[in-house]
Amino acid sequence: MTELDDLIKHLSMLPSVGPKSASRIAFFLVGSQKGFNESLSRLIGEIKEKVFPCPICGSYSETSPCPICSDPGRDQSLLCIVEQPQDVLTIQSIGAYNGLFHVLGGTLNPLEGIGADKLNIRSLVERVEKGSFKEIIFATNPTEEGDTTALYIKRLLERKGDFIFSRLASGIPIGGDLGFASRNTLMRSLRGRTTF
Amino acid sequence: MRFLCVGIKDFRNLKTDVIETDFDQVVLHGRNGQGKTSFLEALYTLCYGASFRTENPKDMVCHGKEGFQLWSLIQDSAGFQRKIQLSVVGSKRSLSIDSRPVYDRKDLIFLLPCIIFSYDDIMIIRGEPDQRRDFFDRMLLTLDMEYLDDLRVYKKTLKQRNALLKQEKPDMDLFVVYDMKLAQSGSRLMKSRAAAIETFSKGFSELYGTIADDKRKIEIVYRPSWNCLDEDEIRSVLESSLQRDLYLSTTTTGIHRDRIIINDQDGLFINTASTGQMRLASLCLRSAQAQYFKTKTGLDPVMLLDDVLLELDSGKRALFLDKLNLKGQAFYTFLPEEKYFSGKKEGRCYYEVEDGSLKRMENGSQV
Ligand SMILES: [Zn+2]
Repeated sequence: MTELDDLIKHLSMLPSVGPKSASRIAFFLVGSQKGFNESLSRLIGEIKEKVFPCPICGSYSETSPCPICSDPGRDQSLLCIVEQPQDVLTIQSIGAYNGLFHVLGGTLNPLEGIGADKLNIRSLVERVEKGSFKEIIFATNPTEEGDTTALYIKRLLERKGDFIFSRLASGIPIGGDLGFASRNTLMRSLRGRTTF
Repeated sequence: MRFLCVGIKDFRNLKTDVIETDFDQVVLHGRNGQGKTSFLEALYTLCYGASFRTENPKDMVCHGKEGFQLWSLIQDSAGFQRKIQLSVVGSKRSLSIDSRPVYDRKDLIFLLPCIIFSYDDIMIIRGEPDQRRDFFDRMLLTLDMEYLDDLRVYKKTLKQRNALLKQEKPDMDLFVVYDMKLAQSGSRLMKSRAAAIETFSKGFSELYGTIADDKRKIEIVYRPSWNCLDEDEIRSVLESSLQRDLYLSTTTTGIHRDRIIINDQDGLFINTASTGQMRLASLCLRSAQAQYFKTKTGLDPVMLLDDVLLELDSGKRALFLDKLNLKGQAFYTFLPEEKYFSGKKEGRCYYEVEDGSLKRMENGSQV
């Protein structure tokens, strides 16, 4: 059955879907209720037209600019830099941040051939030059590449003005027990400790 | 700290089995190729999540199988019973401690430290500089988590910097960031190496003097690539060598180029030492490592002695074991015709290793 094999092959290219789950999904689709496949394929077909990167911040949006960038109620002096569009959703979902975002689309990684030209760094520098930001918050992942990218951008932005630079703290989870924290977590939180 | 029992499945040529190891000394004897070293490798892999014989975990999988499993009940340094489980399937390694998954090897390394004495240790004495750097790095990272952290940062940054050096139009601003990171982690690593090697050298020199019939006074000398410790100074060294680095497409200075030299009063030890003397020196390196570990932590690491007593005559062997002063658990391998410990001793257990299986023996076949 080449049609079915083809479908399974496509499905298994989706993130965190292995060949087993792919065939389970494929068989589900074969036996699904009337209309389900049609609306699913319509949604998939149109998703890239309906949802696209915001021309200002790079986050996914259905409007241009996105609701965050076009909301005058948000704090225009705060800019939070993240790696991926999903990171915006994650931070937004907490409801504790009311500033603006900028999505880099990845991290600097010469080993994988990713330089500043492949990330939204130039647009970031231009945006900061024109904007009224006071504080830049780095929310890149706590990896070597995330760290390097933050340091790199900090150097570029330092030339453009006098900003407060901050970085997300990483450490012991709330309600956590020191004894159960991994040594890595403990080490990071010790190095990044704050005054009290 | 000790292994109480060890479970093995599809590891090298070893038969699937559970081996009782709750003894002060475990003596394994058998012909070569029967699985003695593989058993020590299994123990080492349980301690550190990686082997001392290979960097590729697939090499440890029994021929024709998809993966292997190791597990052990151990007693940790605080006297608590813990369970370590490690499995490798394909290229995926999974690790758990007390049935909780562990994602970083770091959490395992400090649980049950061991020291392996191997026949190949002579290469630390005789081999390229990176062998000696590796020896000291491995020793230090089992003692100091910051050392391990800094070494990881340094190595990753170095790889990225070297990749950037190979690019046609490299981003000069990125070099500044990499140099900053190399200087920061590198200067801390240099300080640790310098302090450790100085102390270590004293113990090593003393051991060699006592055990070897050799009047030479030997010492270990640290020759770092950067001749400064200050981060800003290191950054300017990196900056001034950037043109050469770009030309050669590799980072030409840094702690990955440090030299660690073994000297006697006339110069390089290896220039005049015999193979026997080098082998003895390598034994002393491991013994000094055990001593250093004990001084720093107050703990007795598990000792794995693989075939290393073979070349010592009985007088030297006694002297060596006396100097080693084993207080912790120890595993020894011996050839069948070899004279090993004689007689019965409380807390000592003998296994005969043949064709991948370990058979318990009553007293050992006393020679
Ligand atoms: Zn936007």
